[in-house]
Amino acid sequence: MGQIVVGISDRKISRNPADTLITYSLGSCLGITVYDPVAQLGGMMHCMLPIAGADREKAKANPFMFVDTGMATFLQELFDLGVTRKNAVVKVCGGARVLDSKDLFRIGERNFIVFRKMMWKNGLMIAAQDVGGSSARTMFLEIASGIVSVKNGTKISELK
Amino acid sequence: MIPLNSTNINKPLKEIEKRIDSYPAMPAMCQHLIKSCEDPDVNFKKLVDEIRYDPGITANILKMANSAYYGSSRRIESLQTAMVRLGLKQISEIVIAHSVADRLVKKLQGYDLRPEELLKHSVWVAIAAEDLANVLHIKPPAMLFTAGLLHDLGKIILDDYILDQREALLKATGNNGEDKISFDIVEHQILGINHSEVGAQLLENWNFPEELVIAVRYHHAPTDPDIEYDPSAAMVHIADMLAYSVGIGIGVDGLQYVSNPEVIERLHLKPIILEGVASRTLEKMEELKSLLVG
Repeated sequence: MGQIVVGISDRKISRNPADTLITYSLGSCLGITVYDPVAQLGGMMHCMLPIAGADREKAKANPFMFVDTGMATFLQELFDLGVTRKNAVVKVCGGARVLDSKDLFRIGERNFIVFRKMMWKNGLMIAAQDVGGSSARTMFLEIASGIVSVKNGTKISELK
Repeated sequence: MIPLNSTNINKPLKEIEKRIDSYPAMPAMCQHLIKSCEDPDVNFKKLVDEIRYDPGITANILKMANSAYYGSSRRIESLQTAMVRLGLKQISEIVIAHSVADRLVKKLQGYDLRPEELLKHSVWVAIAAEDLANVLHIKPPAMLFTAGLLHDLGKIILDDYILDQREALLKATGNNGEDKISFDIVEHQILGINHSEVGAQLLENWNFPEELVIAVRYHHAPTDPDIEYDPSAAMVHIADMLAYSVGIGIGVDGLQYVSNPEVIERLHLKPIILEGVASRTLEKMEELKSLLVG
């Protein structure tokens, strides 16, 4: 009960209305929330890298490190718990980048491309997003209301 | 180096310099071990006897030597065996890491870093820099791990001043649009000194080797015309940028640091190389961090 912290390469799911899921320090990583108002549960995932091809062994041990294997596993878990494609509200933030003229550190952009592909594959729409730029973000999901807020730099606002 | 023009010099600089000079030095054993690593004729037995006098350091070395992180399979009971098994380089890294961990573990209010965040960031950079050298088949510079670990030490000193000047700093980073300025440059503009320079000054005061001082001072400017190409500074720089990218130790500065295009070209870096480094480093960082503060 209370604040549940989602670490890097992790996900948490809750149906307890007293819970708020939080993930800190989103840089190029993506924070992804899925909330189903009918099934009355929500989940949050924090993925670091776009594709499991970067390290297949790690992906087996921890699918949530990568957006592709993370989304596949996370969505399956949620569907198993009664979330439906029709009711799922998916929000995403993060995908920032350092100031990089060589386009080497485009991890965030690649993360978001893979995320959109996984959404499309699963017939899901993005309800709201706050991605890109170069600021650190923290993401919150209140299980009672489904409200998602984002602290971007020093400002907190609702993501809708 | 960034020129200090007259308009930049303001009050906090003098105060910051005072703080640097009064900041407690690292235990003498750290420097002694670094020197011993560089000495081909080091008397190993004498060194073991010297370390034994310090029960805290001895306990830490044994704990690390017996951890999965250092690939231990059989239980090591004696300091001598631990030192032979791990070697002098790793022993000195362990002792420095333990000595500095307490300082890096604190919450930094100015930088908006939660407790343990700066430690995680520092450990990440140390591990990732070595991994990067490894994956690029470059012989890692001797002090690379330690350079990574100490590269942001200056943030501890600057934190109070960052808090005081936060608004001015955020304004100067050009928060809207394309013209963003690297946070280390903004620090220098507003405070007269940046965290790399503060860190380097601390290490200089403690008589740490020049190799370390340079890597720390230039980790945001690894191709500065004042120095020859420095592989440690370059690899710490890339590991640091990767840490910011994946969000390890990002606070009020966000991801507002500029990557160095010359280093990227010189090392032939590709996104897939960095993603491999990141995936390997994350787990090791958690393990090593727990050993240091657990």
